[in-house]
Amino acid sequence: MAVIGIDLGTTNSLAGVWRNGRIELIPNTFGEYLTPSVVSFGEDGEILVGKVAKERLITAPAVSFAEFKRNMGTSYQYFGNGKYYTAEDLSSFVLRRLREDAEAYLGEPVTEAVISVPAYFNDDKRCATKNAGKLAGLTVERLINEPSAVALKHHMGVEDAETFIIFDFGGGTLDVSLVDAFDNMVEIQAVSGDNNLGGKDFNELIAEDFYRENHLDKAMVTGEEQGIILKEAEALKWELSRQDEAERTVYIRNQEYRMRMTNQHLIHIGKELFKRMSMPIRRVINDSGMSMEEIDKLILVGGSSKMPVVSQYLKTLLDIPVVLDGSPDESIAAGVGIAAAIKERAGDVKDMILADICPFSLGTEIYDGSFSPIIERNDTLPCSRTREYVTVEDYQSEMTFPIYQGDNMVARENLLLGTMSVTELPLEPKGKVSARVTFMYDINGILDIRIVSGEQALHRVIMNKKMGLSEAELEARLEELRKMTLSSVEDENVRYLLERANRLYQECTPSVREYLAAQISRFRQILSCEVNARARREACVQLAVYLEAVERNKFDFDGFDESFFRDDREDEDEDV
Amino acid sequence: MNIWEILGIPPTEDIGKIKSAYAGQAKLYHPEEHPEEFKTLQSAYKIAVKLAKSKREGVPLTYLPSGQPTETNGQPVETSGQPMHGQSMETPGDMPESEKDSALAEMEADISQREPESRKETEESVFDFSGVDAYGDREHFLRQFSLLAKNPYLRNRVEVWDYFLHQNAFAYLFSNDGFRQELVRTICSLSGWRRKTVLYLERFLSAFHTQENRPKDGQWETDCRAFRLKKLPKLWLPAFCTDRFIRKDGRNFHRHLRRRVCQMAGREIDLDVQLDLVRYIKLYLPYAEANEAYIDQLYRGWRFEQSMVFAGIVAVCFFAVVAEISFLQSGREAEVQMDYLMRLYGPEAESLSGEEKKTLRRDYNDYWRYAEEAIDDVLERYENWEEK
Repeated sequence: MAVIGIDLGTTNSLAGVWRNGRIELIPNTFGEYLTPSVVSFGEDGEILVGKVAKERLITAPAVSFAEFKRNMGTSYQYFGNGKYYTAEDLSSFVLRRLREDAEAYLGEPVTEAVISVPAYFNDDKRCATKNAGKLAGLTVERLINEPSAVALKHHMGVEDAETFIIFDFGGGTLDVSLVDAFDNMVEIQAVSGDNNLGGKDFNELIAEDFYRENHLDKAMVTGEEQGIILKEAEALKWELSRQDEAERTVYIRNQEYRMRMTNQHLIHIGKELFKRMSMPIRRVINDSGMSMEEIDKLILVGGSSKMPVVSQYLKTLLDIPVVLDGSPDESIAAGVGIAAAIKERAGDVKDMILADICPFSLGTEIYDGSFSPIIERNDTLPCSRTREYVTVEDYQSEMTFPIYQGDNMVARENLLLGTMSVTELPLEPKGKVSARVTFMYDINGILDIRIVSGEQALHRVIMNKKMGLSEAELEARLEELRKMTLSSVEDENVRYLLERANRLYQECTPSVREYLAAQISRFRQILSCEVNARARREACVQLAVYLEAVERNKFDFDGFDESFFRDDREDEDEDV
Repeated sequence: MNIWEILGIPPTEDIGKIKSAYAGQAKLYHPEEHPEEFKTLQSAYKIAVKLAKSKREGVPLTYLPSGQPTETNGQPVETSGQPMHGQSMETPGDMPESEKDSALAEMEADISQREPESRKETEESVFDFSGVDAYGDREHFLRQFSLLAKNPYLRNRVEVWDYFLHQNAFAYLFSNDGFRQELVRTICSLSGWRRKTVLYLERFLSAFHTQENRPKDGQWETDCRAFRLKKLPKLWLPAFCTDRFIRKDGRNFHRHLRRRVCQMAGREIDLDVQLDLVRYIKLYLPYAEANEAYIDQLYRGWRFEQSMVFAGIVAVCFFAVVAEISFLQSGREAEVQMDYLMRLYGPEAESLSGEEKKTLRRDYNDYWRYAEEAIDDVLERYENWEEK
């Protein structure tokens, strides 16, 4: 009964498992490791997850959802297929698909998983992630911070002691952490980040520039077209990783527009973004109390860190070698897999220890509304701290301790986890009556609170704040979701090709549309006939190649050449 | 049990040994199985490391190298950061002029020394990041600068700028042309500068002009309008408003700050003493940053008062001049009127009583100018008639 590790990312998700003395990533039905975190509802109400759903973002945007990780833990609801879904539900679909892939790969049922979350995720979001796992049929006892996972993966098999910074620049979030690794210990020193800074900001930047250059008003462009422009911006961004200058053609309402960008210009319009990138680095170095000499290197992780402007900027900013992770998309999943193995105490890694930290301060509110932290941010887990509080008024009979998580000076601006009160205090002048509050926070994210005042002793354990969503409700929801089936995996390839063709049909010029339509109908024809598996595969490959060419805007048509697609075997028959 | 027993090694200052001992012990007390023991072990490790670090000589500063490329004709040249141990900012006593100059010269030498030291991988950095405000340092610096400039008790003290502009953390910013221009723009937008302050700031900025850094069209950034105006020698304008927070709560604020610094220092402070001044600044800055709107209000209040007083004085002068002119006018008018009265009434006009003259004048005042021609006409005819 293996424990798998899952990286539930904003744009892509992966699963990994520790087997045969090493970490193995689990491929999906396409044979790929990355499964896009996109959910779409098909015509029959079936749930599509992954690449297929990603294509439908353009063709059926009303029922396709992406990047819902940001809304985890919020009450934001997505409307699709006649019902409302929360980000938790959508994540649970993705997790379910990953679980099915894992079970297919391992050949045994999978019931437990360790899921990664951004280090900056607060309690609400962490609970939501655990719930999503539960709705997918997985027990999630532990969540691991994404940068810690990367640290694990990097220190795996490395003998020397090193101190490094991990810069995880993903699609929607930035996480920076400072790690001290030696022998079998991986100790996180400090953690910081920006919840709203990621590759998507660069996409938006390029799109804004496009609107500006072509004198287009964003309000005059429909939602679908905006989606197309953003997608082109993203493609342009990836082209800029390979060359310094890139250009793409965008078609809006049968008119051709040019989207152009150079890396230097990107730096110029993205000044704010680079500044925001540097702030967490400084915070992390200051918080840990280390000096630049002690830090050996910076490791870049995450899909968006492949951009040369980002790595160049960090090189220029800090005086240390900047290392681009070998496989930035897969590092986190590998790390989570190792963490799962550590939890399991699997043979080879049972000695490794990950000493993580509490990314937020935990405390209470005092009389003037300000926040009094009991457990400070960046305290190593598991930790336990005690603070004494006294009364502020004469003959005060009650002390209320609202429990907050966060770092804001004004207590109310932080996240409220719960409230505890000590009542019936002895009536004495102010300052004479005190209460000792002890907070204990462990690596599973369970907060244990004890309050002792004179004779009274209170105890409370907060592990799932959303226990307000009672067990019964959770079970009901589980049943409901279990009834909804994920689409079968057999014809996923075919489905994917059709969806992709559909999307390209919408996006490309009228001249190419003709040919595309012909191709699609031909493909459908082949499939509807009783052909053997080999013919089906060939047809799929042909269509895939064609679609690829159209996608890269490199298809140069002079005329519709029938002979190009003639079946070679027909010729053979003729010869005979 | 003391920490060394827990770690299982003799007391040492070698951090490497402490770490290995910690890792070794952790194998025996894995947090998954022995959470309590691991917690004790971890605290012991932390204390041991802290002890070892504090015994190391020098104070390890969390100094971040700038790595900001300087603009030199579009070719990025990186200044590699050297960790500098902080100079003690609290120099006792006031620094005489000559020392200030030498400090500035030292600063110049430091900067020029740092510039040519480029890193091994210079050829790889092809992009120019000089426009990026890393760590928000520029914004932070300009904010603190304007807050200091809005405080009238600090604004025109050269020692304040001496301390503030020579801070290590911001040293790298000044080599960037764009930033210096922004700074000058900020200076020009604030009022209340005295000539000596402006001269000091200009000299500070001109220290960063290097040979390669040819100014555009022969103009340094310090040739801006406000600087030029202030530098006009011997232009002494009396101070209409004493340089201080005019409103009562502004004065109280300053008094409150001073009292806090006195409490901290344990004695009466004198803002002319460098040490006390630095303490005051260090206390003022965080408070001002948290209450920017309030400081801005005080500053605008002072500006308003000043302009009001200035306007008042100008108005008074104006009215004085107007009164003078009108008085003179009325005097001359009286003569002219007398002249006409004489011509009308002949020598009897003189014998008219003051009262009657006044009445006549009052009656004819309004129509005097318009009646002049008519009277002239009548007189002419009268004279002609007389002649006839």
